[in-house]
Amino acid sequence: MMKKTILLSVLALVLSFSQVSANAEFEAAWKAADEKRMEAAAVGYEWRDTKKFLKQAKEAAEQGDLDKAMKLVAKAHEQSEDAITQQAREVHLWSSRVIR
Amino acid sequence: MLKRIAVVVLLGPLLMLAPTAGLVANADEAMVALGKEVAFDRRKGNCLSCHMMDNGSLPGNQGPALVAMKARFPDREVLRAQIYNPLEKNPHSIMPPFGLHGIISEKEVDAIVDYLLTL
Amino acid sequence: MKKHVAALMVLFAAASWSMLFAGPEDDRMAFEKYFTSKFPETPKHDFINGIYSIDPPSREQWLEIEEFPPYELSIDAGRSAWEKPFANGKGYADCFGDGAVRGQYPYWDSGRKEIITMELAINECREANGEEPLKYGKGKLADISAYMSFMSRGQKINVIIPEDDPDALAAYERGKQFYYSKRGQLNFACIDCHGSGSGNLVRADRLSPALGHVSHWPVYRSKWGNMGTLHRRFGGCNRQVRAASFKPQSPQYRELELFLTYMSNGLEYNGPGARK
Repeated sequence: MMKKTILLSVLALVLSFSQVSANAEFEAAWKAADEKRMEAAAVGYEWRDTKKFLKQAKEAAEQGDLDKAMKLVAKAHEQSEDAITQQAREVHLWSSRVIR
Repeated sequence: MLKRIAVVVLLGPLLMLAPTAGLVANADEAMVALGKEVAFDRRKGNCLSCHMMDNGSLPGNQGPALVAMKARFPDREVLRAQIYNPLEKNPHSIMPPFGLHGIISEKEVDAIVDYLLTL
Repeated sequence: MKKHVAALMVLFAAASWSMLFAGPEDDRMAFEKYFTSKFPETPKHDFINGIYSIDPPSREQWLEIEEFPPYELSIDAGRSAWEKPFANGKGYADCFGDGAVRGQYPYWDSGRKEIITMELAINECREANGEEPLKYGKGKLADISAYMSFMSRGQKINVIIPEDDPDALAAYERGKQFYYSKRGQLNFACIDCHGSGSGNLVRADRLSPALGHVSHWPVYRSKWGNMGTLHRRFGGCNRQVRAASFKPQSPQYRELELFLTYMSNGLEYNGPGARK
């Protein structure tokens, strides 16, 4: 009986630890994605839906759907990376489009 | 014993082939259907906004009509590249880089290619 | 020999300088020529009617709409606001005279080192008289802008980039860069749709030419169901290509307005307008 209780509480502890670490992982990924978004915004190139994805990710995480939350964060992160690349590309391209 | 082995050797590949061939055909059809859906979806391919295509009504005319695609794109990869990232061929292209910018998924790019090659 | 080389180098430098840094006036003449050649049927002065200057069928519908213009209520509301004194007893007339000042905006303020648009000036007038600033984009401010634009109909667009102020030219250049740069997930530049694409169909909608784009604001847009300012439309365009929009009267949109309005110098202001 005693042994069983100990076993169960250890199990619960391990489970909650993994939950905590998954949450921490999400928080870190979210923060990194939001910083990327601000980096894109700083060069004037934030995309329309990035902020929305980050908001939806927070909501999904609050409802315990970390899988969905992480996917949304990844999407937001990728968008901002693409936007920053786009800006770097356009700095060299725009002037050849000018009507002369 | 030997006979039995022979039967297995002979029938084996046949047995394996039959259902797979059916699956491949189904998968192709499913991809073409998905491709059509994505192509017409206004939030995804939205091809009709610039291209005349299939039986779509009120097409735009920013881009060329999507007809005789197999003849125009004998190399499937050339068509895929044009949808995935038209900027590679022409950095000023007004066609959105559907794959590069994640407007549609990799699978959806493949599906649109499958669908377009039926036109 | 050396002299010749030096002379050639000076010549080359001058030539590449002018190629690299064509001034606003060179830009404008090329811009105007591009559209007048692309749409030879359209008289230059008619480009202020936007899409209706190049699309006869929709022009017919628009002329019918103009018989009972949907922006009329907005002009009336703007007039009432204009006539109502501020709490300090003063009013818009103390800032803008009879209100027919559209032709003076936008302008570069060399003292403040920034672009002053008419909408910005309206709010600055309010704040100077102790009133709360109004929301840019739509509503009361659009009404007052509609009234002032109505009073100013027929005035010439005449944006001046002071040559002796490099900051003015830099602001103009930033607006120009914005106009020609692709942005957003869909990767469109303003010029993609309203330059080479103008006249083409996106689904059933024909794309309007950029020349004259700024002349008729604020606009009653059927899609909105109310009046909106030029910067509201800028924001809508940016979101349509899936870029995050900037705020109305942000430096970015003021620079864009400066550049785009300069491109239409010589045409007439004819706001407020009605669009689909």
